[in-house]
Amino acid sequence: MKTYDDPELQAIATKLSSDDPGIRRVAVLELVDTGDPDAVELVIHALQDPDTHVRQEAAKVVDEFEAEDMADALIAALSDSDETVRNAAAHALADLKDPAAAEPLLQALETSTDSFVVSGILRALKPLRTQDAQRPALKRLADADAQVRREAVGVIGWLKQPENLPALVETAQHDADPEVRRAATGALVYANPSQVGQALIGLLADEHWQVRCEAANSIAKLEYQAAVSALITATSDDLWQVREKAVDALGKLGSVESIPVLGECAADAMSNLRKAAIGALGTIAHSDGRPYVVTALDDPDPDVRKLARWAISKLDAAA
Amino acid sequence: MPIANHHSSVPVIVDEDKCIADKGCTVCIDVCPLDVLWINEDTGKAHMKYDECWYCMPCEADCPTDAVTVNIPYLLR
Repeated sequence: MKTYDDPELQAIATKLSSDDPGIRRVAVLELVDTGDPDAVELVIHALQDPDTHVRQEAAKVVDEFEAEDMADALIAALSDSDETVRNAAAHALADLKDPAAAEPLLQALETSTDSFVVSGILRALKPLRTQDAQRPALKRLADADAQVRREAVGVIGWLKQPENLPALVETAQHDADPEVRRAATGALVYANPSQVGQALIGLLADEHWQVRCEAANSIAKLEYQAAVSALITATSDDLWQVREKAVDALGKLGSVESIPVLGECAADAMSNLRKAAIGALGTIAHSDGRPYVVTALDDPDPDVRKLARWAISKLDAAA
Repeated sequence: MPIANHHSSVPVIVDEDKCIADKGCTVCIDVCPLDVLWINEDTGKAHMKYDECWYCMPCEADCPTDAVTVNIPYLLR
């Protein structure tokens, strides 16, 4: 093994070539404190150690070093037999956020077939926002593995390209996996409201509640006014979580016509929903909402009462 | 009157099968703010030398092999 000028690093290097995996493992622990750029080689070496624990330990320290120097080793570690190592490598790759890592990542994506590895690479590519990732990510939207599709949606969402909207809408509406649909629904927010509004309204009726919640969120973010009546319908969803998001969205849209419905929600048994309703009434700040807010001043839930006082101040300011 | 066998227990228990202090690891000893953990000269493993524990937990959390267990007294839980 190579020798180092720094005695501390040399001591670690010697330990790393020990036959005892325990000693190699402790040597990796010590690598973190060296702060020496040359230590990267030793980390890469440890990532290829025959002992699983040594590799796990090395995977834990990778983010202390310049990741671009070991992008190749990390990508190789994505195919490690041990899941902890694979996970750590995927996380470290995702933390790279270094444009220089895009090229090796894209190459690895081209040749990888293992779902775990592919989703790790996609997750790492996402924050890099490189145009070159668009084509492979679109291709992976049709992958058999839900996790891969989920990460592909992430990559495409971050690219914010209008031309990808049809593919995202298609995924949001028809993917078999609810988490993929939810992610795609959330990713639609970079669009022009008129392009995706109708699709989002449809998604308010998705069979999975988290998709419905996300659709309400996205509508609120896009301020898609044409969705008001659909949101009002969603305030009587079976699940209070969805109703809460719908109520939030109505508040953000400043929908005066929804005030009676918000008033109903403000009297619901679920305090989170009451809170959202009072918040929305305060945001809308229309005098029609005042009676509901006044009632809420005596709500049994202190959070609701606090929000009601805030809403009153908003109403007073608007009057 | 016979004297009872003296039994004492400390809150920080180190699983000697898992501990790698004999390989040079000193993570728990380094993190302990009270310096109550030491290497047992006989076994080379870490152990609690002084029972002055604050139950602050980094020794348990940082141990690379999950060998350390801190038993927090019932009334402090």
